[in-house]
Amino acid sequence: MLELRHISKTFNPGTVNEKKALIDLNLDLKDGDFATIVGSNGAGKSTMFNAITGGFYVDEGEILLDGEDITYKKEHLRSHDIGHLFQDPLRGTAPGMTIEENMALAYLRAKTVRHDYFSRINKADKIKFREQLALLDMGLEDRMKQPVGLLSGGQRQALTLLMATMVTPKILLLDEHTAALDPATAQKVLELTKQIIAERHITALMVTHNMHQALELGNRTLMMDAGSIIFDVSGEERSHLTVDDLLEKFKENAGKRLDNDRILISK
Amino acid sequence: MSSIFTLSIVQSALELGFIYSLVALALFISFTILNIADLSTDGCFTLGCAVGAMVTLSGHPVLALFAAMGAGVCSGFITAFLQTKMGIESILAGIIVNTGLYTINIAVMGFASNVNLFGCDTIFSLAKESIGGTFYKIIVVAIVVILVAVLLSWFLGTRLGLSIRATGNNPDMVKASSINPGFMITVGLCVANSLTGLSGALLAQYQKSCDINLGTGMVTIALASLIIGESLIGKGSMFRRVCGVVLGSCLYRFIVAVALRLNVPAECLKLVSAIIVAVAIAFPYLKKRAAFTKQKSAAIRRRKEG
Repeated sequence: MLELRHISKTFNPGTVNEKKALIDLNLDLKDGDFATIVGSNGAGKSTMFNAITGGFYVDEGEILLDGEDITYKKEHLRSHDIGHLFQDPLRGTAPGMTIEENMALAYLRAKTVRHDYFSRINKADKIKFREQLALLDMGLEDRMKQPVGLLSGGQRQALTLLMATMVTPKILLLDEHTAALDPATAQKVLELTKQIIAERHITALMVTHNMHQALELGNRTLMMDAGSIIFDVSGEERSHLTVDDLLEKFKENAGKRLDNDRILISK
Repeated sequence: MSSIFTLSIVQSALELGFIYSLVALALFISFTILNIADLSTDGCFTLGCAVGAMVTLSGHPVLALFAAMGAGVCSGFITAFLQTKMGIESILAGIIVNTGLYTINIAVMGFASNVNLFGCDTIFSLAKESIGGTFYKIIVVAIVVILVAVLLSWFLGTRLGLSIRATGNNPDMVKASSINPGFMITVGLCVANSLTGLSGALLAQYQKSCDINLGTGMVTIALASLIIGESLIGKGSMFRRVCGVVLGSCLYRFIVAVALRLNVPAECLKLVSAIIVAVAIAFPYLKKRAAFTKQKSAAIRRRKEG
């Protein structure tokens, strides 16, 4: 489904601030794969996501999504097929627009063809939105006319997830999307994520700093360090791994200890 | 006080309020929705006025309105082009276009600083023949404004309209949801400036003249109307907010009419509108400050007593 071939990216090349963010990174994600990603601070996890969504163009290598070469496709054209959730729950929704309008925007942009500018939602769509909101079990179905700015961070992130998957994306990128939420809400959003991904058979990548999650969720675990994927495990081998094994593997492959403070705390 | 609100004053305030409300709606799109201060509004208003006047002069009063809207679209497109494709700051892009438009406007009027429309057909003279009475002017402008208000609120609910609103509201979200922000800014500014142009053309036909300095301070006046309207109506559905802007524009004209009745000289009107805008924008902040000061002094008093 998603293939990254030898991609490299250097920020501020030739200056004192030069940063090799991605170095010859390779990844082949199969259709229906749900991979978790762990890695130290600055390992390039978010950078990899931005390379996939088109936040910048890579210096070298190719990016293929569902067989199509999207390496030089513009960001807004790519995002039609890509769902992207950020750590900051405020980034995925427009606070000044109502819940219904936010959902309408997500629905119309994915459902209608690109040049169908004057399409609108109808009564049946509104009923569908209501049903989907009810599934969140947050009481949002009765607040559809309220601006999203009034919702809590957890509610906004749940709504963003709903919007990103309203029309099934080819790939869903989750960048620590529960990290900024309180534990109970984070759990709820995570359950929802699992449910939606399983039900719709969505190919997904999820960055997490929680080592238990990294092993429990999905079918594959990736470990990143210094701009590359240093460890990639799935299937039988993965099911026997413990958190300590994972930390040990990191030390083995990266030649240093995993220095993500949040990982150590949540371990 | 009753002498202040004679029928003719109410009537002309409503007429002008409706005409200028189109500029306020233009700023509603660019300033409130897109979060861009479009300073080309002054020049664009005069452009609409000049184009409208010249086409009216050639005997096509209805076509004049559409021609002025077209001219507004061109002006808006250039402003948007400068900021989305040339990397010029939005405020600067507006100022540049505004400056350039001065020459364009003079040229449109045949290198004269004013044009008179006395004796030629306008939509108002046509309406006078078909409707008659004393309210024909209000009826004409009201029809235009209602039409624009309905179309605009419909438009803002379409995929394109929603995308424009999201562009001004959360640029991060827009980038991640297959919306091209540059395109949305361009469409938004084109729509906004077409309304500004329409307003200029209506005014040209209403007062049967066009002057090169007509648009000076239009941004401030429209902003005043917009803010009065928003503080009165607040949030709500798009149609409600659009109506609020029209209401604000009419109210602003009442304030001006009252000021004129109270013998404020006409030359001072720009100062009056500047003060209204400043007060209207500062008011919510000052209210919050006052509430805090009150709370603080009450707490200090309680402590002294206790």
